[in-house]
Amino acid sequence: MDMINLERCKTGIGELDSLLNGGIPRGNSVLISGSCGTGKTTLSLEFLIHGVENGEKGLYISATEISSKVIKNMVPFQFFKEEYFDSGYIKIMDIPNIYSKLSLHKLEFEQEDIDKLIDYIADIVKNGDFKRIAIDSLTSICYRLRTEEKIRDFIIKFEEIVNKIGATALMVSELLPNAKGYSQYGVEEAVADGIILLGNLKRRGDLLRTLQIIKMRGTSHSRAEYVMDITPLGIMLSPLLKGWAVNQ
Amino acid sequence: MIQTSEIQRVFQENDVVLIKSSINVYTKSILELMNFGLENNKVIFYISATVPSSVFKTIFESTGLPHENIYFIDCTTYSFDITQDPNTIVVESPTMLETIIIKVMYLNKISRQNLPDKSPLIIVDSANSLAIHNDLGILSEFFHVLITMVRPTGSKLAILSIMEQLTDELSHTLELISDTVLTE
Repeated sequence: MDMINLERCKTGIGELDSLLNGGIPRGNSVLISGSCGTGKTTLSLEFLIHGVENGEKGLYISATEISSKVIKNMVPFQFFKEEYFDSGYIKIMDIPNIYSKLSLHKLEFEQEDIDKLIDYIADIVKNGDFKRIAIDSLTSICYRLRTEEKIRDFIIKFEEIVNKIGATALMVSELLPNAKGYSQYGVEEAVADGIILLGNLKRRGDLLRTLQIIKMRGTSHSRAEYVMDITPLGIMLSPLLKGWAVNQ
Repeated sequence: MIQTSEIQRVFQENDVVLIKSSINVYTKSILELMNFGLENNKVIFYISATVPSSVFKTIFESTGLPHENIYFIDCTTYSFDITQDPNTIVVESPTMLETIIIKVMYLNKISRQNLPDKSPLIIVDSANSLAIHNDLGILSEFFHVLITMVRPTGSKLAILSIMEQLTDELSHTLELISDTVLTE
């Protein structure tokens, strides 16, 4: 039984929605944390594509790959529909283009630059009626913010926009392979409404992808670690077998 | 040798059957099991941890057994010889038990989409081979999770074992998790 009966935003990944008691509480901004190769981008895009199937438009803000490459990498998946992108149901925006449009050329943003960026994202989200947003990655934006205060300010303002319009957001957090926390600057994990941790588990020479929900405001949820696989049908999960005497 | 009619009888009343077969008739027992599946409108998911799937394909071709509805989860080929066969999924190692579970669930979803009139028969070949790579604790857990996940889907599960090579401990565990035992 759930604690609070909040409206849910189904990720469309069946097992993950079950672990979340029906999906992400609508209005939440969730950190998707993990090191390279753990499936952060795939999860984010699958979330957006399943959103369109539910009539929800998606916005993907990309800092790591150009939009054509993002789309090309999704083609092998069965759920991929090119027309979602062509018709604007999913809009991809490259961060360098946004910076260029706003004349944000400084390596370190001032408060007014942050406000300009936030206002721009808010306009895009409201005007486009986007209900699902993915920032890939938040870490790359934080790089230009530098201080904890600015990062906190940016994330809180972004979360306000998301919550106010009843959207749901995923914010990708890039981690180093042996990182201890869930974000590079430490602030992101404290401010986010939820954290889904993607990992690589090394076990007797095998490298397994894992998924674990660390926190999710507004719902009870699983806290166990699951093995994740990226199949042509998208992300699928299995319980992590615990027979191994490992200190994971 | 276990006959198709005998397999048919036990699967009418049970979902999870442990098949203890003598090494001398092991391959024949497998073919009887396949026959049962194909005669009963099943799609077969064959988890091969004993010999590579390519060996079975050669056998099917030589015996004339239709194999378009047989899908392999091949844990013995590793990634050295990945073919582009659409009916074969390679799992890199028989120690990646969770990945095997996910591949079974994946094939289940695919077959529900493409072959909605056919229910799955999942064959694990074999408990002995998986026991070479995995200790008993994790293997018991694997079978328990696999059974828990496939039972609600209406699938039938056959766990093959070679009688002469079965330790008492493994035999007891397999009997505990199965609905019934079919001994050759």
